[in-house]
Amino acid sequence: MAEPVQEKPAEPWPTELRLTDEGRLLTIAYDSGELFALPARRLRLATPSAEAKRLSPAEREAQIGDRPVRIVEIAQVGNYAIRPTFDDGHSTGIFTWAYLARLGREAG
Amino acid sequence: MLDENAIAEALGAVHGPDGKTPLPQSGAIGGLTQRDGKVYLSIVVDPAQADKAEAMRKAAETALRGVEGVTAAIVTLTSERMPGAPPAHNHGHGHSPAPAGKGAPRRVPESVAGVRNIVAVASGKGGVGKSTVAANLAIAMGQEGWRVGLLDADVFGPSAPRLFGLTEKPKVEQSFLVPLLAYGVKVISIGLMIEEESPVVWRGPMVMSAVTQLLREVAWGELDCLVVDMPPGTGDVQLTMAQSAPLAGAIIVSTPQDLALIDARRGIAMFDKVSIPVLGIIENMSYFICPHCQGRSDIFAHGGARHEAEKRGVAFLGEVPLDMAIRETSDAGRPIVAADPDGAHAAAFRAIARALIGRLDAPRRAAPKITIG
Repeated sequence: MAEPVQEKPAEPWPTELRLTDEGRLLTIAYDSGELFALPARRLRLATPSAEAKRLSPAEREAQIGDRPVRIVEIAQVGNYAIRPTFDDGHSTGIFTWAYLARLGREAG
Repeated sequence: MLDENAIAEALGAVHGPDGKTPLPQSGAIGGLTQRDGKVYLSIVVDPAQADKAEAMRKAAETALRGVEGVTAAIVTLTSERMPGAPPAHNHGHGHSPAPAGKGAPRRVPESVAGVRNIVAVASGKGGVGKSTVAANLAIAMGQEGWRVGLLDADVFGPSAPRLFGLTEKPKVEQSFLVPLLAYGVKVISIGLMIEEESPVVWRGPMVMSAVTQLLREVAWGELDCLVVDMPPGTGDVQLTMAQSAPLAGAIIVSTPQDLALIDARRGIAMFDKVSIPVLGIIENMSYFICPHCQGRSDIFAHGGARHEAEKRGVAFLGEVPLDMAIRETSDAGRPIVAADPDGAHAAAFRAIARALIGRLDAPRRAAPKITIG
């Protein structure tokens, strides 16, 4: 937060987050000019929550099933992350700006 | 036991979320439990419809109260289905995202209302003086002019009552716990609700609901900082707790010896894993000044925590000496910062408090705007 010395090299900082499509799509614009559209389902699968860390990708898939996933609420965590609540009640994943950017880039 | 048919019948007269299907058939009932004539019902609604659903909630409540034998009915709106029964306390589920409607007056938002910063004080292992540091730090921040609260979340060994010399039970007002005021700090602890000697056997989920309650169902009022004294260790309980509170960051308390630092490192790793910034490390029992000869002994070695902090790229907030007086004042319920505000220890804690305040107040990059819809 404070001492810039400790910060890792400048990560892109988001300028706007938008949740659309009845909570199914999260769009993030970064100050780097990048714009990512992340489906809620993808975020749910990639949750960084400790509860899900031990699960393999296949197990995560199985946990969520085939249904579409929606985000019902987004809580801001400090100034560095969001904590979305998904419609299955999962709400312990803290998504930092850097992590969201990484997910966006992976999606390509 | 109440007549379930009578309850179903009463609810049948209430229209579900779509405005026409009777509630029991609408599939919107998330949970229905009853105990001693009290009925708890949760209705699942779309968060976007929460405003409209308030009328339905009231209608359901009225309908339930009309059932013979019902002494109280509490209906809540939720956006998720509760596995099992709703909790026995009468408002909301702190951890649920329940958009219980702007109409529901007691809904507490995700961030704890009125609290600007929540800081967790943690340690990789027990016995490093975490609670003593948390208490003195809270008081020191108060002396610096901040409005401070202390939440003793160390459910396994609550020590705030002893540290602050508190024995009375906190009052409940409008179903909110009123924290006790001691040395300028608003204090709440699970230890205030139970006997000091009685062992607390907590299972994980119980801990979570207790902590959620302590965090969200306490009338904290306006606070600049809420210090959360975490249970020691890096287990599931600590992890979940760290994730469920909207933390500004965490402080790790460690003693200087290598053995303790290994655990401190685990603590840092734990917070890293869940993306919670570590605001800094405090070295406790840093050195010992002999009360007889004034000679200084580095009992647990010295400077280990500072070194570790540098290595990990984490701020070092300060060191607190090992001293009889700290132990004595802590056990006597008069933390050293309050008991001897002009002493060397108080100065050490105030320096740490100022460092922490500086970090929390540092201009932050504004978070982006979040638009829903």
